Amino acid sequence: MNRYVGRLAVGLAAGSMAATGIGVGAASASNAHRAVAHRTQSVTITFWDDNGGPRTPLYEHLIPIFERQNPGIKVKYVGIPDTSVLEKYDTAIQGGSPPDIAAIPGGDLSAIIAQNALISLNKYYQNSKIYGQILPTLLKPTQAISPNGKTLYALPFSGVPATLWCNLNILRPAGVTCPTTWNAFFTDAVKLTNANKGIYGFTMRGAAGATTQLIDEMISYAGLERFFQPNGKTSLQSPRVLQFLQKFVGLYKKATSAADVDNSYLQMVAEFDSNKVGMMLHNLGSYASNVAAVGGKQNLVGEPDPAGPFNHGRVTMAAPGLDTYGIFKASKHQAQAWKFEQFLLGAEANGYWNKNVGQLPANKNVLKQAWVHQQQPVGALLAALSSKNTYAVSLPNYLPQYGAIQNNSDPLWQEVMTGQITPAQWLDQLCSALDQAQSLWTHGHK
Amino acid sequence: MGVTQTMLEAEQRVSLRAGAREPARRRRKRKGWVPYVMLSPLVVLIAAFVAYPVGSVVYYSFQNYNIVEPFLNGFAGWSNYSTMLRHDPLFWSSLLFTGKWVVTEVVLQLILGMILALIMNEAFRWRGFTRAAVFAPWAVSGVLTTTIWLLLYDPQAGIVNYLSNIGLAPRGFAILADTHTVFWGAVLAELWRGVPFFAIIILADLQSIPRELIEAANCDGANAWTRFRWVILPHLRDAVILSTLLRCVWEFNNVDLLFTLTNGGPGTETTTLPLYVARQAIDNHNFGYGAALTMAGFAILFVFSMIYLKLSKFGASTGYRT
Repeated sequence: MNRYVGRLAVGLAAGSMAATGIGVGAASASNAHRAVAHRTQSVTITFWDDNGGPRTPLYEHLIPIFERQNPGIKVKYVGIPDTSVLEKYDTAIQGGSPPDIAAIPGGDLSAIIAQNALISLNKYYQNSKIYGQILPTLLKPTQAISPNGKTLYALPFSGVPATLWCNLNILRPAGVTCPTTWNAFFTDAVKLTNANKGIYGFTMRGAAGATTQLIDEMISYAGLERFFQPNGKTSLQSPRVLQFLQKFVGLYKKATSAADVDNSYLQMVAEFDSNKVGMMLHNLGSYASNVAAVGGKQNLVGEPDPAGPFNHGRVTMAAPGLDTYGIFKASKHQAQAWKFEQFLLGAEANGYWNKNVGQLPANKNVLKQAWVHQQQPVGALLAALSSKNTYAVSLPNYLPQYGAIQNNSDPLWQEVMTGQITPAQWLDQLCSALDQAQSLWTHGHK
Repeated sequence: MGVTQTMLEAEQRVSLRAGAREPARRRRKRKGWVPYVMLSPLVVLIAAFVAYPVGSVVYYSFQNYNIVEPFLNGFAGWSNYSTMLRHDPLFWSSLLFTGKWVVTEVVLQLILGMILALIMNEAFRWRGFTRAAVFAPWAVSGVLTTTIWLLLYDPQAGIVNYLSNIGLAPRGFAILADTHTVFWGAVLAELWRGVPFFAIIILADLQSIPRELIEAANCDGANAWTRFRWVILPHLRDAVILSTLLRCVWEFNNVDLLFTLTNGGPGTETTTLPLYVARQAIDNHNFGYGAALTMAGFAILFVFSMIYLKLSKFGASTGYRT
């Protein structure tokens, strides 16, 4: 036994001498120390992407660059299908195994904050190299999602404003340009339709996500200035909004395919990309697939929501949707996760990501990059957002129930499309649910 | 004398009974904890995979448990059940639709499966290939089935488009978007997947019918219907009872096909109880109410299974008439 202990001691001594380089030189010893330190400090952080699949190659490009710059950190990428993001995140949080860092859609952020799952990034951001680089138009709405309106539980990396997409392959032969007013939109949608040839002026989102888009469009048409009035009731309960809904649902089957009642994001974009539909209302996020499907940039126009009849030429739009990165409380490597987040929000990575997806970058410095002005939809939306003629209305993303309210209204919108209920009934239930959630929020924070 | 003898005999009987009890008690003592140890893995597995999940659902059904409204969480008493039974029209409409869906699917699948099984039980050329073709849809997942049927129903590219071209359907007709046709569109897709299950089970049972029985019926001059009604059907009784019960439970709990094909729509036109549970628990984060809805489904299936097995006398003798 003693013999073995003796051998072990000699072995350890020899090993440590070899490892530290005793007898070789002080410099070598120091290098070896650093190498050992690197090896022991090397950590792997897990990153969840909220749109795994189409955007996976972008992170496959960015992650190796980060790992080269930060040899002690490895990033494990996990792509989450964008149709079940919150469901997957909820399960991970409740099960106690969330990732270290994740991309979180702005619409899901409040539900995750309500579960007390994210850390505050205020101090990290204030002490970082990227401090002051995030566009206030995206930073402030992100901050407003927190219960106190000040804490940054996530940082935005991209803006996703509502966009009217026009396929010029359909519009040009009919002598129609991408409409800039809602009245022109309704007229053009019908004019472009030739159902016998399977050509439709517009594709309507009838299923999942319909309410999210309708809220953007209702705000734009009615020219609403705020989402909730000072008395806590939603401004959506308005005759102007009802007028819009009646006109809008009037397009179903008149300027759209009958199948649109089942359209969620995938079906709607697929329909538009089939080159048989003239116009589509969706956010900037579908740029990449749209431009490929219509045969290049020259055949695609992306514009902000048209001006409504009550706006006197002014464009009213919902504040852009947000894509954010958040770090989870359960993470044991929060500092390393922050390093990765800081890298992703830097001008180089943020520019690369947004250029390829075709969305508004969050880093101010990216705005100087040439592609921002070369991609027509990005340029048009940026110009609209920075114009004095545009009014952007903040959405109540701070309400933890906001996502659920929209989800519950989606099947009811299908009932409007199929004539089972009226637009007024649909609007009543939506407004009632919003008022109730706002009241709960207000009283909960008094 | 007579009385004494009787008493002695009685004592003897008592002592004999006591003697007979003794070895049994000793045997039980000798076994000790061994049977319990042998059974313990099963008990642990049942506790972990049945009792705990069911117990959790029962517990949460009496709670307000919404992960995005944690400040409202707590004991709810019977309020989830009260809301469900008295104030939630969607519960009743989804339950009604579930019943319609189960009855339509199981009856049609049974009839079509039986017909296919009887055909495939006959000897004919290409029988092996036909059997493989009939059984193939059973191997297809629900989501893949949906994809196939979504393509078939697509008004631009699917079979409806061809029917429109020859004037048999209106241009741009979307089966799944119309409240009058969506039910039968979904039923047809599920039939395609479900019929092979009955065909397999019934064919397997058909092959176990003694040939002598059929031959005897033939000798007695029985025609095809008489053979089926009085020889084949009684033999299939237990297989039919078991397969219909299983299929009723599966169709009641069907989520994959309807979720991906119609997502319960248009509106709530094809929303079954399990789809409604998913909407409440996952989309609305309302796990307490979702648990109460789940308990309702569980209770309905439990009671139905008991009654069905009792009334159908599952496992009783086939009782051929003589």
